[in-house]
Amino acid sequence: MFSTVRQHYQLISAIALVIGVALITVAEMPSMHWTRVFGATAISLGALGLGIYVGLTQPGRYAAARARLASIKQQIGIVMLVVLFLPALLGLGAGIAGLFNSPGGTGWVIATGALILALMLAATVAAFVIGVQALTGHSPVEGDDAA
Amino acid sequence: MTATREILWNVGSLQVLILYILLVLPVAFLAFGVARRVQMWRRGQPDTSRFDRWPERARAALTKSILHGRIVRRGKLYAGLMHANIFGGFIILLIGTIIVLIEEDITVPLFGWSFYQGDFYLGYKLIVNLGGVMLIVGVLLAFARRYLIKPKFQETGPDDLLVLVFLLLLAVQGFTTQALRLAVEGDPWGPWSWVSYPMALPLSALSTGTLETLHTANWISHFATTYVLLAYWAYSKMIHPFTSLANVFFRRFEPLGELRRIPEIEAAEVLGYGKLEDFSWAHLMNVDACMHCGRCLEYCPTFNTGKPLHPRDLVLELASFQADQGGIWSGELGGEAKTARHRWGKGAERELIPGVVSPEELWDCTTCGACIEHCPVYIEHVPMIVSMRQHLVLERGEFPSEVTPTFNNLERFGSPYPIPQSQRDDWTKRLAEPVRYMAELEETEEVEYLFFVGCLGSFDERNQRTTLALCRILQAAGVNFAILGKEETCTGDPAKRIGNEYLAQIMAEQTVETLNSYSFKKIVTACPHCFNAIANEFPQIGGAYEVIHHSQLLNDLLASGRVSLDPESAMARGKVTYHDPCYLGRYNGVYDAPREAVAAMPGAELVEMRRNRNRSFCCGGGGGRLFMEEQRGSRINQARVAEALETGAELLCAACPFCMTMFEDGIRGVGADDDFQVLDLAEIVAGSMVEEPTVKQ
Repeated sequence: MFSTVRQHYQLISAIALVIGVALITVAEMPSMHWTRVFGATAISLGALGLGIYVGLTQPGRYAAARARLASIKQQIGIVMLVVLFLPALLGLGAGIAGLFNSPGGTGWVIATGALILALMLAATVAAFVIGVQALTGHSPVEGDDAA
Repeated sequence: MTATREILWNVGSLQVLILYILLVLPVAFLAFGVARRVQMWRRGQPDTSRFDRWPERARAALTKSILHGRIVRRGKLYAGLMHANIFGGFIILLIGTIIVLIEEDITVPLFGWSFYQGDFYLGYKLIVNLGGVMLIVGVLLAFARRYLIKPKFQETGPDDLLVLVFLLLLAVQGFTTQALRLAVEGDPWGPWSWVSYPMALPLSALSTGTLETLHTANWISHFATTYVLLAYWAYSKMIHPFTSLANVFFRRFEPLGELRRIPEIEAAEVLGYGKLEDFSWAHLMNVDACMHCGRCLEYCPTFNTGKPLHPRDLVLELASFQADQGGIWSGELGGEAKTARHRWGKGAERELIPGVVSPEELWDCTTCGACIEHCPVYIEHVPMIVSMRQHLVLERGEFPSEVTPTFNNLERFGSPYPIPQSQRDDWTKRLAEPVRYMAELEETEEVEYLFFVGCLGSFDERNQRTTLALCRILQAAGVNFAILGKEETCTGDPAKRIGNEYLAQIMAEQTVETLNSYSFKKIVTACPHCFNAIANEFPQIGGAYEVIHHSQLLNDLLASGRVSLDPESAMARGKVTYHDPCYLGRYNGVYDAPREAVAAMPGAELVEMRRNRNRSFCCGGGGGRLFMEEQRGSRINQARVAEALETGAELLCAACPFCMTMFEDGIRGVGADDDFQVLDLAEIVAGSMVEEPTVKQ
C-alpha cells in the first residue's frame, strides 16, 4: 500500500490541494464554517507533499522558472517591501496625526501612546531603509572580509 | 459581559478565502527547500553513533538550544539576551496565533466551544503583547549590534538584515492592526493590550472608515509578511532554528579531544573528506546549522592573527557549496557576494579543495578546539578540518613540505625527531638517582605510575628539563613509578592531527601494544597531547588506561604534603600567570589542578591572562603546527606571550611541552627574554621544594 502511495505521491498531493481549496470555499457558506480547518489542512498537506516530492525527486524541475525569478529577485524584493511596509507606515503615521486631535484618554496614556507610535514609526522607517539597502547591495559588511 | 473579541473582525470572506488558498505557495516553497537540504545531508556517509542516548539528546536539545543554555553564556549576555528575546518573542506570537486558529477553526465550528474569552483572553492579551515587545526589542538590539557595536568578528550580509527587517515588520504590523481595531471598537478590555491600547487612543481621532481601511490593509500585509517569511525560511538563515536544534540533538558525545579513527584503513576506499559525499551526514548537517554568530572566531588563533582560516567562513563556504550542489539557492539576494557565506552560485562543479576550501585554511588550523567549544550549536570544525587534511595527505600526497621530515622521522625513529630510538632515554643519565624501567620490573610487580615521557620530553633539550624536574619531584615524594625508556614511541598525535591517519594508527597501535604488556595502576604524563591520545583515543584500539596529567599529580602531592616546599624559595615569588594548554584544558577539562599548584608556591601570586580557562588562547603548536612554518599572518605564540606580559607577571607557567617550545620562541620574538621567562609547572615545583638534588649539575 505504501509503495502505491509513493508512486502516486504527486497525484495525491494535487488531489489534496484541490479538495482543500474546495473545502475552504465551502467554508465561507453559512453553517459550513467547520470545513475550513480540513480545507486548510488539506492545502497544507498537498503543498508539503508537492514541495517535498519535487525537492527529493526532481530538484531540477521548474529550474527555468526559478532562474527567471532569481534574475528579477531584487525588483520583486523591493516591490514586496513597499507593499508590505506601506500599511504599517500609514497606520503609524495616522496615529501620530491623530495625536493633534485626540478625543480621549488620560494624559500619560496618550503620552505613552505617542511615544510608542513614534518609536515604532522610527523603527519601521529604519527597517524599510535597511531592507532596501540589503536588497540593493548597499548593506554594511563588516569584519575581516569587508575589504 | 465576557471579555473577548471578534476574530477576523473587519475581514471579508473573500480575503479569508484568498488567504487560505495562497497558503499553498509558502508551504510548498518551504517544503521544497527543507527537502533539498535533507536530500543533501542524505548524500553523506552513515554515522550511527548519533542515534544513541535519546533521553540525553532530548535534554541537550531542550536545555542547550530551546532554553538557550549554550547561547546565553558568560561574556555573551548581550548577544544571548538579544537572541533569547527574538526567539522567545517569536515563539509567544506563534503560539498566540495558533490559539486563535484553534478557537476560530476548530473548537467553535466543530464543538461549539469557545475558550478565547474571560480571564484566559485577558491573560492572553497581556502575554501576546509581551511577546511582540520582546521580538521588537530583540531585533533592535540586533540592529544596534550590527550598526553600532560592530564586534570584530561580526559580518553583516543582506540575509542577516532582511530576516531582522521581516521580523520587526511582523511585530509592528501586529500591534498596529490591533490598535486600529481597538480604536474603532472602543473595546472595554483594550487596556489589557498594554502596548496597542495607548497606540489606539490617538488613532481614535480618525474616522471609522479610514480606520477600517487601514485595519484591513494592515491585516492583509501582516499575513503577506508571514507568508513571505515562511517562503524565505528554508533559503535564509531562518532555517537555523531547525538545523541548530537538530544539530544539538544529534551532537557527538565523545570527548572533545577524541578524533575518530578510520576503521579498517587498509581496505578503506575513501580516506578523508575530498568531496561532500565523503562527509558524514552529520557533518553535512553541521554546516547548515551555522547561524553566522562568529563565536568560533573570538578565540580562534588563526582568525586573530590574520590567517586565511576563519572557522565560520570555512563552514559557510561548505554550506554555500552544498547549497549550490543541491540547487537550494541560486545567487545572493542583494548585491555582489562579498563574504564567504555569500558565495552561492559560484559553481556546483568546483573541486572541494581548493575550489571551495583552500589548503592554506586547512593547514593553518592548530586544532585548539576553541571553535567547537564556543559554537552554540556544536559544529565540529576540527574533525572536519582533520578529515580534509586526511584527504590531502593520504589521497593526494599534498602537505606542507616541512612536514615530510616529521613523517619520515615518525616512521624511522618512532618520534618526530631524527634521533635514534636508542637515545630516547639519554636524559636519564642526568639524574642523580636512577629511574626504574618497566622492562626491569619483576613480572608480579605493579607500579603505581607509568611515567609516559613523550617525544618532546625525551628528545628536546628544553623539555628534558621538565622531565628531569618531574622525576626529581616524584623521587623526592617517594612515588612508585617507572618509565618505558627505549620502548616508548610516539602516540601518533602529531601524525593524526596533520592528517596521516595511516601512520597515526601504526604509532598508536604500537604504543598500546607496549602499554598492554605491562602492569601499572595509572599513567602520568607531562604532555597534554600524549594525555589526550591515551585518555581519549587509545580506548578505540583496546587501550583503556587511567591517565593523569603531571599537574594533577603535582597538585595531589602538594596537597597531601608529600612534597615539602621551601618557604624562602625565590623560584616563583611575585606574579605568575598560567597558560591553559588546549589539549589539557579545553579538551580534557583540567583547569584547577595546575592553578592550585601554582598558587601553593611560596610567595607566588597567580594572575590570570585576559583569555583563560575554556576561553584560553592557543600557543600555536597544536595540530602538528609545531612542525610547520608559520608563513601567514602574525605569530600566534607572540600574541599569547603579549597577553602574558599584559598581566605584569615575570613568570609564565606552562604545562605542555608544545606550549613550552612555542613560548620560548615567542618570548625571544617579542624581545622579552631578559625579564620574562617560561617554566613548566614541574620546574617551578622542583625549584621550590626542599630536597636533596638528584640531578647531576
